[in-house]
Amino acid sequence: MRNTSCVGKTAHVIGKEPGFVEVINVGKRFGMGTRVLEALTDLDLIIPAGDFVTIIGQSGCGKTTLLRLIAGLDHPSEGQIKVGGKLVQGTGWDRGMIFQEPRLFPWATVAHNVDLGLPDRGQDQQADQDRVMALLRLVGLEDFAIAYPGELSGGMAQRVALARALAGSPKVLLLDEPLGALDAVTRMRMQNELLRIWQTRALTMVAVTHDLDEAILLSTQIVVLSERPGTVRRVIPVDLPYPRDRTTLEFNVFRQELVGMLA
Amino acid sequence: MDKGGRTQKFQGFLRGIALPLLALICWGLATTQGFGGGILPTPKDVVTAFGRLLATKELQTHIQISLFRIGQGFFLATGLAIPIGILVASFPRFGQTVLPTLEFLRQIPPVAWIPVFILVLGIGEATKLAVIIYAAFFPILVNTILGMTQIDHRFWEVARLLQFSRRETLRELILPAAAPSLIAGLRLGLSNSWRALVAAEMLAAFSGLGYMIMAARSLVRMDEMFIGIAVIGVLGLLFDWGWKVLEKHLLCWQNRSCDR
Ligand SMILES: Nc1ncnc2c1ncn2[C@@H]1O[C@H](COP(=O)(O)OP(=O)(O)OP(=O)(O)O)[C@@H](O)[C@H]1O
Ligand SMILES: [Mg+2]
Repeated sequence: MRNTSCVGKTAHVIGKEPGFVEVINVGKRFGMGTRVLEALTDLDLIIPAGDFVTIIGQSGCGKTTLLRLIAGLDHPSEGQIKVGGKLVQGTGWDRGMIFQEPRLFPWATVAHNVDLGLPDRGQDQQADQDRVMALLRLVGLEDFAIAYPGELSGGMAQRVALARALAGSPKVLLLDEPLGALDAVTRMRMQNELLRIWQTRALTMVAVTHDLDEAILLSTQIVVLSERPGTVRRVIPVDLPYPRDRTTLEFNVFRQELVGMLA
Repeated sequence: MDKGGRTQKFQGFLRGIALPLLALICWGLATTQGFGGGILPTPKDVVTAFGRLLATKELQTHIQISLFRIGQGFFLATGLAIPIGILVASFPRFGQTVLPTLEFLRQIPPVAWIPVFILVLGIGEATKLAVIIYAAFFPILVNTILGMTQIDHRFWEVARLLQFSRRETLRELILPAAAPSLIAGLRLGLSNSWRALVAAEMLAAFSGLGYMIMAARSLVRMDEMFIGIAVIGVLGLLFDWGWKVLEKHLLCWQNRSCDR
């Protein structure tokens, strides 16, 4: 079992680990014309390095906003976010993000898209190419290196986005409903792929999902956000051993409990 | 391509050349049947004159000079317009400072400046260069700005996540994303400046295709005038065709036609 309860004394000690995420009293407001929209309020969350956290909550409660704040794409209106003990003030190689849509550059080949994710690209062409091919192999797309994104299916494109995000060797990978647009079979395959990647690399995963099964299948902890303005309503550790099987009794008992807690 | 597609393409080609052929026939009939008042040359006159201009290398020289001018001026205009366009699109305050003036200047046809340019720059190459740059600058500028402002904001976020340097942002995001618009602007700029150059050569030059037409006029060589006009049109078509080829190659990702 992974360490899931890091709030308290130990948090301070391991707070310097590169994959350790602290969201401290964070609030986020958006100006909408003359109105002010409060998206997040008093949000506290500590994610231990190496955990796989899924965030669930109603549409519009601020899940995407939270991921964007951790990624450094937006700045909190209140509070602060630290990753690996360092204050987040912008984007950085220690964090990667995958969006609901792949966001690949349509004018660049698959290999070039992944290449753009390499932090020190351009120093050694051959080494870059090898790394890109290794990443494409990781997501099972080595045969599509010279394809263009317009020639890929949605699931393939999302795998390229995954490879591109992994190219930066992030310590924290932020996933905003990355499997939301996929069919059931592709989705299951991608879930296994995500698990495999998480387990073979020293990664902290923070994923948003609307799918309870997916949350139970993947995560060490499930974070439930309240309605807007979003704040942490519950943190539910998932004490099931990996690999998980959604057909087992334990799994279904856990889901029953989870549904009960959410109702 | 399948057989049906090829036949269709051929039919399209036939339709396209029907009008020019018809015009040619009418012209030939009219001039040989005594219409045109003896001023209009016959097709045969024009062909003979064409042969003569080629043999004396006169035509080639004028073409070369015009092409050199357009090449030089277009290169400079591109080098000016694209960076300024990127700056205008990137820095709103810069845009607010320069756009009203540029909008004003854009309304003025480059030909209107020729007398001013002659007075200030003389009748040398500088005047022709200035006219070309003026004519090419605005279409390129406008389309650069358009292309930049149309870049999906979500791609900018990817650029931030991937820690793009300024250079990478330009090379990997701005230029390729704005390429469709950029190419449209370059194409428009070139044809604009080509037309303006001919005008400039007619008013202020001793060489080039425009001058050739004016010189033919003063000698009342109608046949040579027609040759000058035709060559200008054909070269313009070639430019456009070049852009189409370039566009097809550079923007192949848009219609999945990249050959690998
Ligand atoms: N850039 C923005 N400007 C103004 N309001 C915004 C902006 N981004 C998000 N919001 C608002 O903040 C709230 C939270 O949005 P967010 O996208 O984080 O929700 P979400 O939980 O991801 O929802 P969903 O499950 O539908 O993706 C919404 O009410 C949204 O309208
Ligand atoms: Mg969202």
